[in-house]
Amino acid sequence: MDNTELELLLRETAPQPLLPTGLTGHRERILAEAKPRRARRLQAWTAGVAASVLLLGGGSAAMAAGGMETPWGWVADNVFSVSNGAEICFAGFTVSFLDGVDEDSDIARETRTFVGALDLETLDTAQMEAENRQSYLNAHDESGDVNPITMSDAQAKQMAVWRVASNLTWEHLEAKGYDPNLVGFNMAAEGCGL
Amino acid sequence: MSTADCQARFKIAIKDSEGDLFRYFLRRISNPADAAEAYGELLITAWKLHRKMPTDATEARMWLFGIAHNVLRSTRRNSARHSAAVQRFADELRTTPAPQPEDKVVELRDAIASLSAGESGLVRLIYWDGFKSHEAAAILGINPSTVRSRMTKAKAQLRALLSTARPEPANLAHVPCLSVR
Repeated sequence: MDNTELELLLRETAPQPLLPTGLTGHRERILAEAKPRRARRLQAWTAGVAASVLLLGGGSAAMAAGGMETPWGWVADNVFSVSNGAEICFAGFTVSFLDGVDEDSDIARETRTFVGALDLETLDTAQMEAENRQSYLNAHDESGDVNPITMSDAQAKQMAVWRVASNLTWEHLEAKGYDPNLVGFNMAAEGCGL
Repeated sequence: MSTADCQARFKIAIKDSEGDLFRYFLRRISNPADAAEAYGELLITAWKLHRKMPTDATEARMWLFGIAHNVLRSTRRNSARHSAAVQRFADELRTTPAPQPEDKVVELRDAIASLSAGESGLVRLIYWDGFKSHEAAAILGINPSTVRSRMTKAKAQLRALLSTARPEPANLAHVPCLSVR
């Protein structure tokens, strides 16, 4: 087999996957979500250890008071906490919007109102927790071998709350006639081992 | 360069390569949902580092694929797993069946997979993704001369593997599909 033949064969082994529809929309939303997340996490870290101590000592009710203002220095659209053994796993949720969506627009107001009113403590997350755990158990490495990732109960709960809440938000916006692709749903957490 | 310029260049670079970047993962990760997660991790990581992206468009593309290469090597995709948008994308693809390759292709892919990680990675970059050898060198962060020597070795090994798997038949009329097209 000469070089040309071998090269031809190698090219023919290339998988030719079809791209999913909506790839561009997903890319835009992932990036829109990443931007505020980065800024807010930076703020969270610069708040320092003292804030974390206050946070854990104060409990979620204190943190959630005053329009969801967190001791990290940023305002969450909703907050949730769960015991993580010796400490409290706390998460702040915020919504973000694609470039061009005004913070005072109808969709922004509708989103923030809906997310702020969600009772995160009572969400049914059992199925999502199970899915998350299964997904982590079946994680694959680059060789395609199963390489499970462990997560604490608090992590599983926090992740599930966040995903259920985001799905509910998008479904609500869709039902109201808004484009859910314009909205991202972010989480910053502390004490969860994330 | 201003922040706005940096972000604008980043957006263009990502947009221009998004299909190829996602195919990069789909070609290497059998589960489409996992590929979506890897793609999300790439986007978030690239965004975090976008100020370091080269200004030249071709170099920017290589830079993005370099990040994709690193994402593929890592099993922990924490950023993607904490992104609702990524998880939504992955959920959409969870019901997408993984494509089933033909037998003749499986045999050759197995041969490629049996090479060392460095050599198989090069073969895939060059023959699957269509990169030139110096571009593959840039993506992997290695010297172009190293790429050439590795490719020479890889091809010799592949020839040996293929000839072992399929001895040259005497009658060319019965040549199996893998040997001659």
